[in-house]
Amino acid sequence: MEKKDKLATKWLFTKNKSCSCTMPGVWRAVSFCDGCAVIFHSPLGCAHVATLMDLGAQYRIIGDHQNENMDAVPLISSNLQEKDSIFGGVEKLRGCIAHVMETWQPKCLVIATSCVAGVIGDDVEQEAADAEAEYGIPVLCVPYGGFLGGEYSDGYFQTVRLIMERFIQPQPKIPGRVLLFGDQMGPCGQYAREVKRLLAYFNLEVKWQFPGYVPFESWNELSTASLLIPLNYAGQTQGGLEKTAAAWAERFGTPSIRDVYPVGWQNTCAWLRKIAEFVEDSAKGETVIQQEEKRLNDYVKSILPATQNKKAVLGIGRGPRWYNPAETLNTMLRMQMKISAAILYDKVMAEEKDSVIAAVEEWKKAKHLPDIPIIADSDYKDCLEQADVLLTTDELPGNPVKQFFIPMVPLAGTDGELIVMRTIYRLLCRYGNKGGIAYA
Amino acid sequence: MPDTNWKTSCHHMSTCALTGASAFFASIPGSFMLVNGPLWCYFYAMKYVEDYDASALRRFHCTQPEGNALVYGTEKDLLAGLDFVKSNFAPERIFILNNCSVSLVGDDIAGIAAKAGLPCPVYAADCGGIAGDFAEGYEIAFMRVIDEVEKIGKAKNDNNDSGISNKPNLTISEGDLSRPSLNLLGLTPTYFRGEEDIKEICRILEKAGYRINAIPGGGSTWDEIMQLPKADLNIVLRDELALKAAKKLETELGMPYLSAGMPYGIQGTLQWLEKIDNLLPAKNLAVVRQEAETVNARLQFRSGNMQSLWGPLWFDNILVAAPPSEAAGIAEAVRGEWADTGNLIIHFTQDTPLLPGAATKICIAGKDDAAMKETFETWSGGLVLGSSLEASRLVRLKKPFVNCNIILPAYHEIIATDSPLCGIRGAAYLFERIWNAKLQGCMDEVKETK
Repeated sequence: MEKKDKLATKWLFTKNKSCSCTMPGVWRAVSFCDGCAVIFHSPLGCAHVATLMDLGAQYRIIGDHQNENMDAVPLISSNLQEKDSIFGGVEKLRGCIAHVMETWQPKCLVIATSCVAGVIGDDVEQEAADAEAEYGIPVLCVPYGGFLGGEYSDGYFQTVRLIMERFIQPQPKIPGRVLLFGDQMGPCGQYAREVKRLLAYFNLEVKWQFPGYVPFESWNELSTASLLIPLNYAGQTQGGLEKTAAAWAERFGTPSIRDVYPVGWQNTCAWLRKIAEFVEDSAKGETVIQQEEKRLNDYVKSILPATQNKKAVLGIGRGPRWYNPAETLNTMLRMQMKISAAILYDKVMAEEKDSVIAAVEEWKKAKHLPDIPIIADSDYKDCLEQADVLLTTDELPGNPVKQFFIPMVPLAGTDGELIVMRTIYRLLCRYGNKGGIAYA
Repeated sequence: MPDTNWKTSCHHMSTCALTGASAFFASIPGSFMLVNGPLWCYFYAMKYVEDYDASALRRFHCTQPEGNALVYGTEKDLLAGLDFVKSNFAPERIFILNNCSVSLVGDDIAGIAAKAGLPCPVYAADCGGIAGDFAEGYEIAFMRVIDEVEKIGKAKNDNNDSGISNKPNLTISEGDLSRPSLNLLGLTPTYFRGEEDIKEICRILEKAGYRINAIPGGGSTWDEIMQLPKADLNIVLRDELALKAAKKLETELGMPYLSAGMPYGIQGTLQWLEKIDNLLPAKNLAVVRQEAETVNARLQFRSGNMQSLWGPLWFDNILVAAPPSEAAGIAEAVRGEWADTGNLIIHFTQDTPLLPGAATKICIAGKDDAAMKETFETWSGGLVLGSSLEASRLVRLKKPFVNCNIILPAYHEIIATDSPLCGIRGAAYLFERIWNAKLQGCMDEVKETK
């Protein structure tokens, strides 16, 4: 059916607009906050999407040998149907709220609206206010109309703002108490686990991860934390987290580490120095960095026989909003691989190509490696045929080259770097041509 | 579905109509699906199909309209999407699937498609989540295709072509005078082991002496589907997917149908076959009976041996959570043919009038949320026949259980073999899975104790 015989990435789409939906973001912002319930004023399928996202995350955690110990809060769809587009869906929402109150008795109700509700024009905010008066519990409303009101992150951060404004007040800080800010797969995810491990060197203890993982009853205690750590990374999509963390710091007077994040080794070192600065023990920071660097170096030494001088290609199909190639290129250098090319897939949009190329060029200049070719004209067949491994943002189905999938959710800290290198090492050790793609 | 039917996601709910319609259309070889809606909805529908059919990801695209398009129309986005398909692919036909918010806009899809000047036919359907769940979407797609069948039938009749009969017909079909022919309605490879189930159902029916005329939504080509009226009888395997279509085919084209359900278990399969045989006699029913007896004897023998070592196949509780066509049949087969329990609960994920005798308690998603919540919270151990959703709930509640997936999502299982769940082969497979689940449970208990 396909006309052209060119190298094809797995997916046909490019993320140019309306990439996601605000409703799952709202859900994720309170999904493990015991005492809450969430209503999607939407068709049934919308809630199913959010459930499958949660399910995927849960099994990924289990696959990472972690024992998740929280139960998700109820998520209920108001079941908007075709006839509601004519007569409005407000009555249905009212009935759904009553059903949720009777069945689940939540202490806080959160309502998100779908694109259908947005098109119909239901006054959901008024319904939320009425429900609050009737049932005597707080009812938060994010009437963003599914994809019409923005992206996943817009729904997520608006929910955070509502919680901050309504339930949290400035109060005295408790020394050593740390609040993690953001999701990144939750408390059992690699990012939060690694941050907790690194903070422990400085006798800092993580008390909560907000939003999403703090029981409703504890929301009013959150501002007692003496340090706020956003679980961020340097992609442009992460601006919302940085902005919200800044708002938190300002509103509650909580110091935070916002300008650098522990993703990639250089950033991890800078981040550790910031922590050391916070605890006023810069010597401790250097000691920790040395210990962690030794871990990295010891590991690299152990895998060099498999990685050194191997021809590696970087394949980029994500725009600069989603991906910064510098970290991957640094990892390739650390493993002493020969970077034979950086290739841009056709799916990178024309207006983004220059930025991606500029990012790679900047890295080449910084590392004094001017000869690495950047191929952006689809002519990379030979380059891939000669490569030992392709580190790629997109799977190339049916291509015999060994492929490592560059994670969408960044891996943090020293452990994150070790996990990436271990996966690439195992891929290079692969005997025979098993096909497929390796995920970290 | 009643108006007051809310759905709690953790109690299982179906995918949306866009997914159901995508599954139906994608099953027709040579088709390209263009989702007129946001990336989010497109990806979800496409991924569902792609889980069983790797080619789907090169046969789906989406228009990604901006919010303004819901005010001014999606023509610009749709034309760009069609142009993308035209430039890169040469499909035999294109299906445009409007998501829920786009379907409210009321664009003249046919008119826009005509402007695109495509070299193949384009068919459009409003099939967003607002139309309902997977079943409703599948149904919408099926009805849309039947419209084309009718057009062809009408054209042929106008030309006095006798290829399509408009009369009720329980005689032998054209083309193969020796075998009565059937259309199988309500099958989809996108269900759990769906492709394998389709093969097993065909195998049994063909062994019994029937000829399969077409399986719309189950892999038949466009030309085969257009020949639907040539069959002697329509068999509805899943009412929720195809009963409405069968009724339409009866009304419009005079085709009789039988709502037979899915065949689960050895006895269940024979009873299912006898129902069909009663309406349209098969020549070789005895051959299938013989196979069933042989397999059943093997299962009983092996069960006996295992029981002598491990004790009876007893579970304190059995939960069956699935759509009606699966749950009712599997509940009867499990409790009626293999395992013992004092408490079999069914969670129907869709409304149904079915009341299987094997069930101690029946809950319907959306109607009995409180009772379903209680099932999980008071669960004391046993066998769960459902999906990763039920497993997820029980894992999070730290409840003991063993499980076999019988529906999707099945995140904690890889499906690589060709064993079906239904029919005679499916009975042996399910029997094996249930026994192994029990044995694994015993082994895990011992390991945990240590």
